[in-house]
Amino acid sequence: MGGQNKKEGLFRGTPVWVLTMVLLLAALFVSLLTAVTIGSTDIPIEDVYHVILYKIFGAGDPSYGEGNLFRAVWYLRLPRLVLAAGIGMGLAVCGVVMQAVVKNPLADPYVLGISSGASLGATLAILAGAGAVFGGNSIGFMAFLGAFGVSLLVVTLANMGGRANSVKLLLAGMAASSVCSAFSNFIVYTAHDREGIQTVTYWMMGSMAGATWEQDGAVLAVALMGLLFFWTQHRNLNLMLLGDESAITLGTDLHRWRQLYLLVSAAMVGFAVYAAGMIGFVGLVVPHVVRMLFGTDHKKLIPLCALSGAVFLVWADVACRVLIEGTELPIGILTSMIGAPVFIYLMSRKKYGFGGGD
Amino acid sequence: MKIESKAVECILNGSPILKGVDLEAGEGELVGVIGPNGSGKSTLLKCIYRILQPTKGAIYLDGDLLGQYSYRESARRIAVVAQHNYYNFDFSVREVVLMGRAPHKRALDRDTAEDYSIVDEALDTVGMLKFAERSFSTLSGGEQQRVILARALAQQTPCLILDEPTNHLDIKYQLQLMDLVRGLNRTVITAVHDLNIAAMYCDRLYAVKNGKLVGCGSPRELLTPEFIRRVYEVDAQVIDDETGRLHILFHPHIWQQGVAR
Amino acid sequence: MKKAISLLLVLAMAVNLAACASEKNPAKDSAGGTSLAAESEQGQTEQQQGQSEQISPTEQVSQTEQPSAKDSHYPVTVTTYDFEGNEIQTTYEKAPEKVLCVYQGCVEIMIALELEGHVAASYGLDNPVKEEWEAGLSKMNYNEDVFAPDKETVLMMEPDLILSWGSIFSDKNLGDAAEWIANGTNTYISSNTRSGGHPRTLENEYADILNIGKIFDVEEKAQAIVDEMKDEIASVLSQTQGQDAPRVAIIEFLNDNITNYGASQLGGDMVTQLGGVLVEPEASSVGKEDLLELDPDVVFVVYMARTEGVEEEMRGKLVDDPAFSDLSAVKNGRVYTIMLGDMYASTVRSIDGIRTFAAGMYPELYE
Repeated sequence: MGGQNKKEGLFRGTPVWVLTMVLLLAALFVSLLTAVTIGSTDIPIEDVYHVILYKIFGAGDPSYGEGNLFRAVWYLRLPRLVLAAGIGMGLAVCGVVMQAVVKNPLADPYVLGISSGASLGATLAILAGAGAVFGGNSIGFMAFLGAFGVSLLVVTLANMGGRANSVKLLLAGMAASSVCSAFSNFIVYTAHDREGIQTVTYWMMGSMAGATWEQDGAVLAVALMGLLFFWTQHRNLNLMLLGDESAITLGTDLHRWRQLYLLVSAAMVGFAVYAAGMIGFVGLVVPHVVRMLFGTDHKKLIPLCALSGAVFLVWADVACRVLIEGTELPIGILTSMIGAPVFIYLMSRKKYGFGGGD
Repeated sequence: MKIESKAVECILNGSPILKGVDLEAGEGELVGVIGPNGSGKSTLLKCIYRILQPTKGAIYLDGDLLGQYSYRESARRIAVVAQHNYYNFDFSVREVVLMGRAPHKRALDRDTAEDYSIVDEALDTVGMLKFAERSFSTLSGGEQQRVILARALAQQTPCLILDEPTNHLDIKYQLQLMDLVRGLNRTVITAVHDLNIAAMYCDRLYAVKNGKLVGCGSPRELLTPEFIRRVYEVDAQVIDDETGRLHILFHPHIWQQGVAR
Repeated sequence: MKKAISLLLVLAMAVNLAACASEKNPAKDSAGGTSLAAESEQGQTEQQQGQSEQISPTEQVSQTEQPSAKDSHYPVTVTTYDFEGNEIQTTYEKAPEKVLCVYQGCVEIMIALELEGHVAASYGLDNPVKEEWEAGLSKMNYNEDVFAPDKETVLMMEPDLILSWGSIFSDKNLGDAAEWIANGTNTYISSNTRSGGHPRTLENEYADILNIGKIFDVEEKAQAIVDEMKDEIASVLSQTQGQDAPRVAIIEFLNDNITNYGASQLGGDMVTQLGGVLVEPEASSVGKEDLLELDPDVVFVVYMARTEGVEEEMRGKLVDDPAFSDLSAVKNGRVYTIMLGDMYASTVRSIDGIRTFAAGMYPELYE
C-alpha cells in the first residue's frame, strides 16, 4: 500500500505509479479512438476512421472531409469526447485539491459555493437574460462568472475576523451557497417561465452536447495548466493534510496557498461548468478510488486522478448517448447514478477518512 | 545553535498566558521546560516554533531576531516533534518522513536520491527503517511518534523542539524517545511533564508557573523538595544515589496520615 | 525522466488539439442576422437535391395540375427565427421532402395541410392527435419511444427541413439554426415560440400556417384554415356587438401557484380578439386573494391532457376550493377548462381554442 514498490525486470527501478500513469495515458488515447466509433446512430467503424485519418493526417479519400457523416464524426462525436476528457481531468484534479484545502474527504470541486454560484449565473442568464451581450454561450459565461465570483466572495468572507483556515472557508462556503440558492430560487419563482425553468434544470444536469473545438481548446488548456500547476504543488497539498501547525514547523504558511488553490480550482471548475454544466461525483469519487490504490501522496495522486477522471468521463459520455436509444441522458445524471453507489461502497468498506486504516 | 527568549509575553484569547520569560539553550544542550499544566510551557515553545506570536519580547536564533526569518528559513534551523494528532490519512512511513525535506525544496524540485538517503538514515536512527513501506496509520502510538521524530531529523536542523511528545506513550517508548534525542548532540528544548525524566535527561531546567519563570538551573540544583512543593504543590523526596542519578519520589497525602515514616 | 516523458506526451496532445481548435466550424459565426452567403449556398444545394431526389406523389399531382404555378411559385423566401429570437431568412427552391417535425403543433399542421408524404420523421406529441388526423399520423414515421431526437440522429437522417419550436435549436439540443441552414437543412420555428419576450398572438399562428402553405405550395389550403379562424372570430364579434365585454381570467394551477395568462400570451390574445377583457393582463401569476378581488365573470382553467381525469382535476381546484366559493364565476357556473395544446403554439388547433373561449364567454351563442 503506498510507497515506492519497485518492479524488477524490464522496468527495473520504475515505480508502479509511473507505469500506471503511462498506461492510463495510453488507455485515454485508446478510449478516445474507440469511443468515437460509438454513437446514437450506426456509423460503420471504417468510415469513422477514414474521417479521422483524413482530417488529422490529410490521408485518404477527400470525400470523407465533408457531408453529414463527416460532420457527425468530426463536429459531433469527437469534440464531445475530447471535452469529456478535459473536463474529467479538471474535475478530478480539483476534487483532490479541494479535499486537501478543506481537509475533508467529502469535499468535491463544487464545495465552497462554486456550484451555487454557477447555478445562480446560469439562472440569471436563462431566466433574466443577463449576459446576453456575451453572445454565443452566454449561459456558460454567466455560470463561469458566478462560480468564480462566489469563490472570491468566500475567500473574502473567510478572511474576516482573522485568518482563513479550513473551517472558516467551509463555513463561508456554506453561507455563500445559501445566499446564492436563495437568489436563484427567487428568480425562478418570480420568472414564471415554465420553459425557462426547464432549461435551467436541464442545463444544470450537465451535458457535453454542443461541444465545439474552440471550447475544447479553452477547456483543455485550462485543465492542463491547472494539472501542471497543482502537480508542482504536491508538497503543499500533502502538508495541508497534516494541518496548519505541522505545516509551519515544516516551513510553509498554508494560509495564502489555500486561498490561491481555491481560486485556481474555481477557475478550472468554472470553465468546466461553462462548457458542460454541472457534472457531479467525478471529483468526489475518482480521488477516493485512486487513494485506495496508491495512497495519499499528491505527487502521484494528481496525475493519476487527472488521467483516471479523463478516461472515466469519456466512457460516461458514450454511455449517455447509447443507453436510451435515439436520445441522450444528461451526463450529470449518469455520473451520479454510478458515483453514488460507488461512494456508498467506499464509505462502508474503508474507514471514513483519507483512506487511513487497513 | 543558540536559542534565546527574552521577556517573552503572550496573550491568548484575552488572557495573558506568558508574562515575561527568559530562556536560553546553548549549542548541544538538552534543556527541559517544566511546570504544572497551564503554566505556559507549551505556549512558550509554540512561540519559539512560531505557531504563536509573542505579544511582547522576542526570540533570537544565534543572536538574530526569529521574526526576520521566513518560515522556510526557520524550518531549516528548528524542527519540532509535537504531541501527536491523529492523522487520518494514508501516507506511508517513508512519505511522512520525506515531508521533512520540504523546507529544503522549492516547488519544482524533484525528490533526489540524496533526499531518499537522508530519509532512510533518519528512519534507521529511530529504528523504523523496516517499517518504511507501511502505512503510517497502522503503527502504534510509540512507533508513530518515532516516525515523527525521524521526520524532524530528516529536516537536518541544528535545533530540535519537543512539545510534550511522550505524553500518551508507554514508559518504554518514553525512555526510548528520550534516549534517541539524548544521543543526537543537537540543541534541544523539550517540555517535560515527568520530573524523573527531566532529571534523567536534561542538562538544564527552566521551571515555569503561572506564566513566569520561577527557577532555572541543573536538575540537581533546581529540584529540591521545597522547590517542588512551591511549583507543584505536592510533597516529594529527592534522592541522589551513588551512581549520581537523581530520583524524585512523590509523597501523596494519605501516606502522611496514620502510617509512620 | 519518466515524468518528463509523460509531460511531453500530454503537451503533444494539447498542441495537436490546439491546432484542431484553430479550425472553425463553417457558418458558425453567422448566427442570427441574414446571411446572403447562406442563402445562395443553400439555393445551390437545394437545386442539387432537387435534381437527384425523387419527387413525392403529392408534389407530382400538383405539378401536373398547375405546371405554370409551380414554375412561378418557387423560389420562396420565408422569415423565421433562431434560438435567440433573431430573424433568419430562408429560401426554398422547392417543397421540402424530408421534413422532421417535432412537437404537437408542428406535427399536426403537416397532417391538416395533407403534407404527410413530405415527412421523414416526427416526434414529441403531448396528447393524441384528433381522430380525423390519425390516419395521417400513421404515415409520418412517428417515434413513440423518444420525445425529441438528438443531434446525431437528426444529422444522419439528413432532413431538408426541421419544423419545431425555438427551444430545439439550443446549444445542447440541435444547435444553431443558421448552421443547419448553411449545411442544406432549412428550419422553421413556431413564431409563438420565438425567444426574446415577444408577445404571443393569433397573428403569429396565422403567419405560421400561411408560411407553411407558402413553403409547400399549398397556399389555398392554408388560407382556408386561417380564414375559418378569422370568420369564427368575426362571426362571434358581430353577434355579440353591443354587449358588455365579458371579464375573463385564464389561469393554470402549477404546484402551489396560480399562473396567469395575460395579454401577451396566445390565450390572452384570443380572448381579447373575441371581445373579452382580461382582468389581469400583465402579471404572470396571481394569488388567490388577487383572483377573489378581481372577480372575473368567466374563468378558464388550463390543463395538459397527458392523462385521464386531469381536466376535471384542474377544474376541481377552482370549484371545489372553499376559498373560491364566493367567486362570481364559480357561483354562476362560468368555469370552463381549456387544453394547453389549443392555446400554446397551437397552429391548426387554434380554432379549437377560439371556439372554447367563445363558448365560455358567450354561452348563449353556442346553445
